Amino acid sequence: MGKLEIKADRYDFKEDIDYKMRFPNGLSEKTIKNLSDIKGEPNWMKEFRLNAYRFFSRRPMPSWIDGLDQLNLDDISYFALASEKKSTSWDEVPQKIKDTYDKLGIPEAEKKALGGVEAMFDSTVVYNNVREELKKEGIIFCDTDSAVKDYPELVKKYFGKVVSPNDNKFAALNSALWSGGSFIYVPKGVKVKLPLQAYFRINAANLGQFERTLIIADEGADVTYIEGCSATTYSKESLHAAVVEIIAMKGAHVKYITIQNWSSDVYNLVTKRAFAYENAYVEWIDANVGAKLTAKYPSVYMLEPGAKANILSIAFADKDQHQDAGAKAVHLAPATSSVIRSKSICLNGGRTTYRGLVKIPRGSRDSSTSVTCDALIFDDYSRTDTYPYMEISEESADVSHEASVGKIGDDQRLYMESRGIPENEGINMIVLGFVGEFVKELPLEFALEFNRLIKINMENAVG
Amino acid sequence: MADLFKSYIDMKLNMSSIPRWLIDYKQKEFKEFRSMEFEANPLFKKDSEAREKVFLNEGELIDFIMNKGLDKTVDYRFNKKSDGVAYRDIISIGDDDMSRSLIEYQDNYPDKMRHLNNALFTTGKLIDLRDDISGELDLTETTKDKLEISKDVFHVEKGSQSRVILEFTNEMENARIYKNVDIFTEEDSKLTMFIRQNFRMETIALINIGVHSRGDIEIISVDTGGKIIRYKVYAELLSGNTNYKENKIMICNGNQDIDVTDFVRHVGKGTKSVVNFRASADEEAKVVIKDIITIEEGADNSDALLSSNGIMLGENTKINSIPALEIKTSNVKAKHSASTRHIDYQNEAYCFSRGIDEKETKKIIINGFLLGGLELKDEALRERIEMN
Repeated sequence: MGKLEIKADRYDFKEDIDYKMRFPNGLSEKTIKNLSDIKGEPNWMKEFRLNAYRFFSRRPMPSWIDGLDQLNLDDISYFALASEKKSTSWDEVPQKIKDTYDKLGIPEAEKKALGGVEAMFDSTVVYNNVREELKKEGIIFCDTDSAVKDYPELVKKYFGKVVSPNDNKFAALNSALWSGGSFIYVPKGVKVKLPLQAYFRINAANLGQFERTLIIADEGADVTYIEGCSATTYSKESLHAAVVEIIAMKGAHVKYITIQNWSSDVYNLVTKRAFAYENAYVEWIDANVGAKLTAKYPSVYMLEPGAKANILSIAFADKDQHQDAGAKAVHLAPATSSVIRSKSICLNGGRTTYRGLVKIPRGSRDSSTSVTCDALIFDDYSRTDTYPYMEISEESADVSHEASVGKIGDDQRLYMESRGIPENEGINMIVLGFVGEFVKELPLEFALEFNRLIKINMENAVG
Repeated sequence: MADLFKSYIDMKLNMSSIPRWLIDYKQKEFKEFRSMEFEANPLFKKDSEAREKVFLNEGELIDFIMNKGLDKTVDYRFNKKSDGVAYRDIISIGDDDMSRSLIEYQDNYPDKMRHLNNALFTTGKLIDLRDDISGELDLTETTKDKLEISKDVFHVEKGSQSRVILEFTNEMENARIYKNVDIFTEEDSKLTMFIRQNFRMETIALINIGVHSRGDIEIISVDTGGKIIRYKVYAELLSGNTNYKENKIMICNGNQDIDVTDFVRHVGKGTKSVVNFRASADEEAKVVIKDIITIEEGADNSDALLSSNGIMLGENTKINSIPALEIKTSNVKAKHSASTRHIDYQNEAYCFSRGIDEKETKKIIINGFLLGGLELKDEALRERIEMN
């Protein structure tokens, strides 16, 4: 069979940055206090962090994620400051940092297809800009540190309400150490025509990045947010433990797209959750290509009638990678519906796991859910597991689930060959078809970039 | 706390008839039982209710063993037994190598309660379905006391084409029934087995079925009774081209708490499995269905299909479905599907429009749902299932 190769290394380069500040490795209550003092935060936030840290300290490491036991939290620095200034113009961004984003193509994409961009470099946001016409409509798109200072009422009202600090060990760690991330508020009835994008980059070795993102779409609002992530490869591990909270008010629509391409030394342990109110629609479109270990299960809690969720998860696991990804749909009101689709590919000894939860408690009448998980496994060294979990207590619920695992069939290859398509090219087409659902969900520029990211190398066919 | 096993050894059983190797084996199994934690759900949360609901605490077990003994707790009634079927009491089995290897066989499914049953069983049969004879067996096992700990072993020899009907019942209220049933099928054999569980409603039962298959095997089971039932199937498909088919029908109502776990492990190349669950839940019944298919490294060209479907009939019913696929090799096909539905109003309306009353309508729809996935060529057996 032809060899599939995931080409993620074009993102693997390093800029020698003269850091303004870097915390020594290791974590204590003093680390949290220092961080809060440096940021000049209000007391309520400092207390929030400290409470979260205490919870983190008490909670054991999750035992059900394979590979997590190798993560040494004492060998990580929890803050690195590359630039003290956040700019609204790329010309003001320090040259070496700007070079990084130029190589990643972010300024170019901003000009062509984005309503606003935020760039986070290690622990802080170095660039943030929103188109003037969006500002005029009352849209707020800034880093979360700035939001604490500039929009305290909004932040205080919603921050930590969707994902509480004691939700899980890594949500607690993020709550204690969060820095950067996006804050978005879209006023009532406003539809953001161009997507907003954030790009998260880890450049330093042994670093923990803890962005915190909060998106509030007011009644009838509509917004698409895209996040991309990459990192330089080192011989020692880094940690990315983000928390993302979304609030979709009545009739709002939020589409959250992730293209995760961390380097192969990053532990990617993320909590993502949305609250969807009456007739709101939340979509998580989530691709995991990079990282050593990913544990991420985007969820939607449908709190009022008519709320809808669409979760599409794509995972690629190459050698030494474990993508433990999935989705959760919690139906807490009548007439709610969810669709979960998972696609995974593992090769060269990589491992993919789908872990999901659908919950329909009593009283959520006439709710429905559909879960589909498909996995492609390329060789005998790879492994794929599927663990969907369905908890149904409502007799009127309509629940369906399908999962399949297989390799590219001889019949498919034969079909391609019979039409004169070379084997490697045929496999390329089949794999692109397999992930086609994901690509269709992306704006055009990002779809092209994603296809480039998933390069199919047919030249090294191994029979 | 080692007193439990000592009590077992000291009890008023005819110890002289138990071979030494069996006591050693039981001792080893008891150590395994002791060394393991109570069952935890591997996916999300601990099954904290397992200890309280299923396990009779050791003090109660000792009391039962010392005061009553357990040797006559099960009545085995052979309704039909053709030539080619042989059986022996497992507790006084002797020490022939084959019997010993079957009883001592250890698969790759460590389970605390299986070890307990292996350590403490006091009754059971070793049933041989002999080679080249189409064996037929119809057996009813009736638990006569408030506690049963038993182990049955079925051995389907090479070339045998056999059919077994196995019915579990009990006589006393509030009984606890711990059963291990191990089924071995040799190459070129074929076994069709119908297991009917019809315990009294207040019964708490833990049934472990171990399937160690090198031939073709089809299991059809119908569960209706009991209050708390933990039913576990541990199937391993060991040799090339083994076919395993399981149809499980569960009819749950009242305040029943049913927990079914089905592990199917493909070990041999070219093994095939089809597992089909159908459960109806009414009133306040709670049903948990865990299905785990594992295709091991080297089990190339295996094909697995797992389907679990529930129909909810009451406002207070609950169905949890926890399926899992664990695939460790590439050249395989594995599929899983699950659904939970309610009665289709269109079907109801169709029946009503033809003058069928509500009760009969419900019965027709539920029967259609429960038996819909059953592909059974054996007409006599099918009739028997439909009667249930």
